[in-house]
Amino acid sequence: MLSLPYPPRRSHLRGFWLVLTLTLAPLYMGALWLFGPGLAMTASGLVLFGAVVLGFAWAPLPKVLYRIWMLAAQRFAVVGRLYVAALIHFLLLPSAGRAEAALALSDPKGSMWRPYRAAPEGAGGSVAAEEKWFMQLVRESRTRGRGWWLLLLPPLMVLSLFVADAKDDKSVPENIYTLF
Amino acid sequence: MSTHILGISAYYHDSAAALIRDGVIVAAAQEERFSRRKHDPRFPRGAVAYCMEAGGIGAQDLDYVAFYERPLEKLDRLLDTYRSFVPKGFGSFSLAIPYWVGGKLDAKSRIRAEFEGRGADEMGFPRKDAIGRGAFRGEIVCIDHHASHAASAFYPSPFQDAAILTLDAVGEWATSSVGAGHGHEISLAQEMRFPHSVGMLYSAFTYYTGFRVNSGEYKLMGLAPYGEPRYEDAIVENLVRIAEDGSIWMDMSYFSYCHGLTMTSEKFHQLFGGQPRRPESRITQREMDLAASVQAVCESIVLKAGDYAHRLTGLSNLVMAGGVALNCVANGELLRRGPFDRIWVQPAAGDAGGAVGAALHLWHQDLGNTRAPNPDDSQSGSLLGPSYDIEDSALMLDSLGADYDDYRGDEPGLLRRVAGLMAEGKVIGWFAGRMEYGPRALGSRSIIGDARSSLMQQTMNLKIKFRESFRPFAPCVLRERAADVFEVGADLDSPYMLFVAPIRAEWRLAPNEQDLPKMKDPDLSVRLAVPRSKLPAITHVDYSARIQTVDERRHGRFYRLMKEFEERTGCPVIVNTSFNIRGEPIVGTPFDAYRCFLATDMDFLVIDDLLLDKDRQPIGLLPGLQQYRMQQPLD
Repeated sequence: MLSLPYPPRRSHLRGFWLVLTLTLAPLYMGALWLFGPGLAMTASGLVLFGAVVLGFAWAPLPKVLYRIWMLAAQRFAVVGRLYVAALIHFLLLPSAGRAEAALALSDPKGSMWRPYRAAPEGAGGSVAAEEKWFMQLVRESRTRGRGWWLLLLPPLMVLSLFVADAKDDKSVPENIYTLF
Repeated sequence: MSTHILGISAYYHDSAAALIRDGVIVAAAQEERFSRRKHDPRFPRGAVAYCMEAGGIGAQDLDYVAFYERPLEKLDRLLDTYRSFVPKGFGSFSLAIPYWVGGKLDAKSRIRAEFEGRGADEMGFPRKDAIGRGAFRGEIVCIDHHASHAASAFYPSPFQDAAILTLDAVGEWATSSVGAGHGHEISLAQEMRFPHSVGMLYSAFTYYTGFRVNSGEYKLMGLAPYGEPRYEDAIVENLVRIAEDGSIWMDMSYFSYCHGLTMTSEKFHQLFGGQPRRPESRITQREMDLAASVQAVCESIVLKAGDYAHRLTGLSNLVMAGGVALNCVANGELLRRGPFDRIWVQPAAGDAGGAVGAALHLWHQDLGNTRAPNPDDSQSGSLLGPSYDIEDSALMLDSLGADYDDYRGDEPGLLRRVAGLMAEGKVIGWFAGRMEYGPRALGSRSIIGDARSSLMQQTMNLKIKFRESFRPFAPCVLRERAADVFEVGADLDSPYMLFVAPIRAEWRLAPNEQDLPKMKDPDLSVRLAVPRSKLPAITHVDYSARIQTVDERRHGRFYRLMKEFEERTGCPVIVNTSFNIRGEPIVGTPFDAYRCFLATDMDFLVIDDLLLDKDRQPIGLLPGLQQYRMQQPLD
């Protein structure tokens, strides 16, 4: 639903119209079976058939529906994203406890230099594989002792379905670093 | 059989690519110069394609791709940060996390996809065009962000042994690091961790004073000389504790960058007496004083951290990288005060430099290859970008109907003519040779003029850059004459414009009585217009200047031009500013240069051997120039 590109190319419109036709056809057949043939069904069948043919011949028709579909999809993505993000943020993250010590939010006094702890990944190193992010998360949750990451995994995977609008980097504020 | 490593920095800001062949930097460039989108964060397709073309290789010849940071480590930091501030931070969280799971975490797969023609363009359409010829079958390796910075500073430096100091906003967890480099090995000993960061502190004030974070920091630095550090005590007493070793602890109740969509909190605003300045609104004395204050604090941190690096390593050379290393005022102070004898700063010290750093780190540190430092450094004057065939440039100009004088085979003639024009006060667009890698124009994509002219600064700002600026332009000075004009040692080598130094007393001018009221004018461009020296176009109100030394070995024709100018006028200094208009990336191609030339009041343009006179260009040659001028975003 969210992977449709916008604005669409002609091939996208044709594909969209074909899928719409293939979806509506069984629905119409079902209605025909349910209500039986009659004037209303014949008339609506003719209108639908005409619309399908017109849609393949005249691009503005599928374009309008495509646009409506995409707007609805975007709204759904925003709501879905906020819903899942809220679930993670307000329920799951607190269950993992705070990490104030890691961030040194209270002044520990003295030097703030700490031992350098990054282990640069070398060629052929253990983390060299090109895994999908969720596989990395599973593996690293074990090696880092962060089992609570596994709790986040299902909602994060759902969240990744709602990223169409997040790919637009205009939605990312410029004034903060922590996003990155 | 050579080993080719492609370094990539991307997906944050200033994406870039660099190609290393057997440890030698063959090519490096920022994507913004190709895409024409300032600070472009996207995968650097244009830069990668250029690097491979410059190296004469295809994707199948690449042995490794080195990415400049480790995304999962960053996610770890993000999650720890958010869970420490719950319930605050939902707005930021709901924007950030989808961005990560939507692709940033899969950096390696995304890079591989780009090489295989499976990437997606801005609109979400699949890209069918793979980058380069052949299939990339090498390995993709992620290098720690600060290790990339450290490598970008140490490996190209002229030193066999050096202390390393990286000062940044934030990488994975580290915000700064300190260590040493010996031969081909880097050993970072310590780090400061998020959220305690000198880069963040500086950026918080950048935001508060109405400039753009991640790009306006240099403006804040340029604003500082107008102010008094009245808020320095308030900063040190409330916002940040500076330890004697240069490490800092920051009170997060004054900042909101951990969880919010702004850098500073209400408590911060109350402390400094008001809301952040609206971008583009008038700059008041408060902003100037804030700039002076945070600059003083920043310098104090840098000096102490420098001392600490010296104590820790016992070495007499220092190399630096990270965004804060672009603070050339602090760098100049560190160089003058010691304790280091020599300092080398990576010219692409920000994230763009991570591309070179990641690739060099992989070659030397991870693959264990030895290194022989070049006494001049191995950065090649940072002229690592594309150059253009003169035949192609001429063809392009011919096809547009442009009028030019052809000096092919007559370099002395060209230099005589240009030096003469500069001496007459003309403004010249200078497009020559390979493009610079890093944020500064260093004499390849520069607008140049006579530094002695009292009108030069105003002309360049208003008629070419289309801005009212409070910052002077940077001087290029003949290396052998630098100590005559500026308070620097006779051996100063500053080819990357990364050190500020005062102009010598004999070049300074005391303001006359008519000028004194102007020096208190609320309009900073009026203050700046008061000549402070015999080189008014490059002298700041505190008599400082951001120096680029020019030598024949690195700069070739640009040096010979300056020499010609010196012989004609006796002046070893010229004005150098980046070849662009406000908000635009520095020009990349001859066409970019020609368009910028036509759209502005530049008098002449040099494209390698071709000289163009504005007055001789047919009117209406390029349509849409007005639109080009207007469409640039605010910088």
